[in-house]
Amino acid sequence: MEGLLFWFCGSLLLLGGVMMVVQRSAVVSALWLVFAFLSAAGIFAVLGGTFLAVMQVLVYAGAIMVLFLFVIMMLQGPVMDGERRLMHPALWPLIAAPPAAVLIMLAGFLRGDRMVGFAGAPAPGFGSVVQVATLLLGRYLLAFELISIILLVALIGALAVGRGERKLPWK
Amino acid sequence: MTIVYEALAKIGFMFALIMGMVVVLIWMERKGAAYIQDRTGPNRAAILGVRLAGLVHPVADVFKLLFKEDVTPTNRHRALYNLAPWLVMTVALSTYAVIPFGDFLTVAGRRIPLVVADLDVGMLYILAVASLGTYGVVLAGWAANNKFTFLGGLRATAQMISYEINMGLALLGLMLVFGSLRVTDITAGQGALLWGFIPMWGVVVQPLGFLLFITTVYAETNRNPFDLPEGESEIVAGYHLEYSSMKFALFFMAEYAHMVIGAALISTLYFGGYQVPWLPRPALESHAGLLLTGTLIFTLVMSLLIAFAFLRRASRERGKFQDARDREPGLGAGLWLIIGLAAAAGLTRQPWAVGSAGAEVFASLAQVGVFLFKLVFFAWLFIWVRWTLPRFRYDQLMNLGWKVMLPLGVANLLVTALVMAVV
Amino acid sequence: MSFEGLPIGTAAKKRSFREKLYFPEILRGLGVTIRHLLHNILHTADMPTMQYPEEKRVYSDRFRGRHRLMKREDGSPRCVACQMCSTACPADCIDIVAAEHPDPSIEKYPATFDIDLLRCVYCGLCEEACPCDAIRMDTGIYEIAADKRSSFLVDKEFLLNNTTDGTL
Repeated sequence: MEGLLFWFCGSLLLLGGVMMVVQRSAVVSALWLVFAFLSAAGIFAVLGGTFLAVMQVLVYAGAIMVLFLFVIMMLQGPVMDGERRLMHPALWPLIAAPPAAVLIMLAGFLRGDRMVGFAGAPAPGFGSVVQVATLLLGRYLLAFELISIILLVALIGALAVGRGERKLPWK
Repeated sequence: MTIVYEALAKIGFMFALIMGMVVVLIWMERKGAAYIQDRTGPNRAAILGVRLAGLVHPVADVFKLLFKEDVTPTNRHRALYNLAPWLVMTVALSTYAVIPFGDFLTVAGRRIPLVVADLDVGMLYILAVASLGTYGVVLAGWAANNKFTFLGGLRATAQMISYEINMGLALLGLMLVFGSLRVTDITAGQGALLWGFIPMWGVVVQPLGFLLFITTVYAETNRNPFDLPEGESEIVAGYHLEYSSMKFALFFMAEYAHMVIGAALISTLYFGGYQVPWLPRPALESHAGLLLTGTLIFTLVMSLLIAFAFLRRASRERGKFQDARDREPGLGAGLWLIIGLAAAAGLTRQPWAVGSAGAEVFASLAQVGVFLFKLVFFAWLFIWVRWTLPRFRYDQLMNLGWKVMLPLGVANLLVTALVMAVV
Repeated sequence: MSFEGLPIGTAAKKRSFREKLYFPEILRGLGVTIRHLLHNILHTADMPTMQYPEEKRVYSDRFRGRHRLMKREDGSPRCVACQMCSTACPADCIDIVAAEHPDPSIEKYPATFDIDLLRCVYCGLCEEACPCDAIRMDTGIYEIAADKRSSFLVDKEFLLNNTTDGTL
């Protein structure tokens, strides 16, 4: 059952990725990316990492992509002008799929059976909130805090670049 | 396989509950608004001359919208335009998965927890699904290719992003107090008593958190005073302006489904959910006979009173309309008399000597009933607030979200953490 | 977005601390609305709403309703087709075709007398202008409804035998 779900979510993830690349409209592209994120969350959930799955939805699909869409939509309307294309985008995955499949299988063959396919759910408790929190706020506390400071600096930097130096709130 | 059937039964119950609540809420909204504004509200649609005080109107609306022509803008993005209403509805329905509507029900010796999915990260699931709610609104606004819908979509995005953070902060305080991310744990924790006499509801231990949460819930459901994405006076009808027929009905129903979620969340997280105040589950079961008798007597007295009121109206308004509507007070009196008779029949079966199996069922039903009561009250609060407060201006909304609520949320979290560390 | 620095039409009211807290004032507002709600539920009879088709408002005798043409004692129209009403009409909704009256003491009579009720603004200038009190608006009919536009074009026969209900 879990193996079936794993393959199901995996193929949805692939579909989302491929569709995201071949879309002409940036908004539709972004939506396929959201679809891929949700499928990835499904894979995490199948592997027992519910916390990771929910965080994937909350952070990537729910927050980051919404902002992306916000920006893309400001730039582009829903109806696009005719555009010259080499070939119909639906053909791209047909051409790209066989080499990709061969590559993935090759990689799996070289690395042993653990790389391809579903190897069963990990031990219970793996990826739980407690475990993630212990690692994040224990062993990797320094890195975690450093990353937050970097993000804060980036935020202030974006503010400075965006508003121009003279208009900053503290000037 | 039993577990699948159980899950299906629970999903079916939740779905029926939400859809039933949607109809009732539309009625409550119209009637409540009318009475608040000194009007009578809808009272014309009738089935065989029975109007049910306007309850037939939502049903009539469904039929009207089903048969209406679906007018669509020519230059829309076809796929996304069709997808958006379904997205809104799906997201609106999926939050219910983690909301417990009762403690447990024992059927044939199996304890069935009354929640669809008891996730260990239920609180995060609520936040995640709430954050996905933006997509439907934004896509509807963008795909219709209309500047008003687009403005509505943009407003919805900005508003939801701003208020999600506050919602998360408010919920963090609650998670700290009850020490769990599991919604059922939080509800179970609220059955305890604080200092031995106050129910340890979320609103008691997190008063500021509750105020922040209820505000963000109102903002996330796009209800007044935060209904800027619709803003009739400024952007016509906002994101669902270009939708008609059943697609519009989906948006309309999703708004009410969101209200039901909001009410369910408020009552589950801050008002004890299914917990009966001062009566935890064992007390409910051991006093089942007394409580059941009391409930039946209460039902009997209330139904007789209501039937009497109907009868008085029947005698006062005899021959007022000269058509089928004149039968209504009589029918109402008859209905309530039947309910009263049922309660009386129950009383003759010696409810004070109810057995242990009956006591368990009674306890489960009482908890579900209390949850539904809280749900309806907070859903009514949404309506009540809508017809009381005017809409925020956009800059006021952003100021409130970022400059008032965010600092308050952080302060609430810090104080909670300090108190939890000291105690 | 900030509106600071922009000219403000009305002087902003200075808010007290209690008002800045929002919630006490919101509760006060909720109290006002719930009082109305409860009063209206408990006293449904006091509701100012009228159940329109069953209950109708009584208008004053001077109410200007749909027009009618007065008759002489022999049943012919009192109108002498002088065109005063159609001249006075600001909406230009009266159309009269005059014809010679067989009685030499009466100069003319209206061969046709049409009123377009959709154009009429019910100002009453036609009845003011009429020298022989032939057109009146005292029927009190205000429910004027039909399912096609041509029905609103009423002729002499209709105006002479004006029915009391609103159907055309």
